[in-house]
Amino acid sequence: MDNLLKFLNRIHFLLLFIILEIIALSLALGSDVRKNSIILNSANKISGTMYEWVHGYVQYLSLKTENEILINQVLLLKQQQSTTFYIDTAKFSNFADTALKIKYKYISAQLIKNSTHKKNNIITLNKGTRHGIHPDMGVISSQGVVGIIIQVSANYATAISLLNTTLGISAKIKKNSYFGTIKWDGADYEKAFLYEIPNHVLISKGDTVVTSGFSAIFPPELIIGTVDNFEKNSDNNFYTITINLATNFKNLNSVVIIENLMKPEIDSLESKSAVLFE
Amino acid sequence: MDVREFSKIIVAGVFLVLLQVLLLNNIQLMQYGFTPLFYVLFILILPFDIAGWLLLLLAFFLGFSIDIFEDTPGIHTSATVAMAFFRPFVARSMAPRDGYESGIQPRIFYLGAGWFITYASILVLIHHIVYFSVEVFSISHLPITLLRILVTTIFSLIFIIISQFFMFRK
Repeated sequence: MDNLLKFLNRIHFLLLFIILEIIALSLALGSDVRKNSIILNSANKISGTMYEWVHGYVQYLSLKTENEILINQVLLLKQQQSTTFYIDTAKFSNFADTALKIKYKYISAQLIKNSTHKKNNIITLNKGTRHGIHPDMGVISSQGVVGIIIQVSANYATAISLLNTTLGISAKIKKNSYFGTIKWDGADYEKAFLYEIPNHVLISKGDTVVTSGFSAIFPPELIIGTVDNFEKNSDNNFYTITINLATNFKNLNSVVIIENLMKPEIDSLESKSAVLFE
Repeated sequence: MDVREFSKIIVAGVFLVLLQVLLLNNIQLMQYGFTPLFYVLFILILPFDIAGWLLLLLAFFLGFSIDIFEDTPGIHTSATVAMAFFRPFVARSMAPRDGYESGIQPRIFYLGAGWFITYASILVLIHHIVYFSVEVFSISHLPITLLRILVTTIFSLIFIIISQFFMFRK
């Protein structure tokens, strides 16, 4: 017994090191970003409040660019207004609004934390359950697609951004509607990759890549980026396409969160159908 | 170590964590966004006579607080704990012939620039190797990971060495 105590006393430093390192590594490697407890997340109260406080000051520095982006957005919307168009038909039928049902709801939010240099980047937004946010809602900016909400607390939400190696977003090439998956490789914050486009499809540099609308998270035809470069893979029949991302993640500030009001219905239908083939 | 000294250490730790997450993490240099990890200074400047278990626990909580702010569960923690584990060995191997005199602190002011820069380089490099390896956890991006380790180590060291001339006059 005495010897055992002496022995433990001699190696307590090594022992404690091993225990602490195991705790840390199991947190780092064993955990899925989407399932981490909210305590380990910047949406938690203390860090959330602190980041928002700092953001309150930093926000002033980017007001000018922010204004320009908003003005462009207003012009774009004006361009789409019905009053912009000259109606060139003799007959004009007016649709009653009761025929249309709202499918997507848009909620504005501000980034209070952002990063682009990590392998798995997560952004924090200043809206939470109190504002009707819940996981799996899409996040976009005036420039293009940003990411997907993963965790929500009362006042804050975290979103997994496109700059995250664990995220894949269903996307298509706008001009011919062939669809594939957008993934990020963890290196350059301006580039991502589009996979699964068969190599008989004709594509060219500068083609627009948009959301496919198959995921029930994003509406179709939202801009993701443009084709920067593409090459045929020799080992399978698909392209690897490099995409210039439309969203500049470095100066991202205001975003819009999208709720698909029909997502629960689509999800339950799809999971019921999937069960049939298990 | 008395209560006064211990509370000083805690204040320094809180200050460094806040400085890192609220200010320094906004510095992103060059294409890959290298960020100096200045907060490891905390482990470097703990007194020589600190107990081993306390050194490890302080390092654990330091890394854990950074992880909470950074949404990187366990990554900073594993690096700070590894750094703290190697600190006694590095300090012992660099000790002067008759050991460190009592009252001497591991800072430039007491032991000179040559000593401090060697001591800091070895430990910061250990920290950054563990940090970036655990973050990537694959050898497929080896060249990029090595570049990140080297460049970030240089940036962190520059901040750490400069800090010595501001904060730690006698």
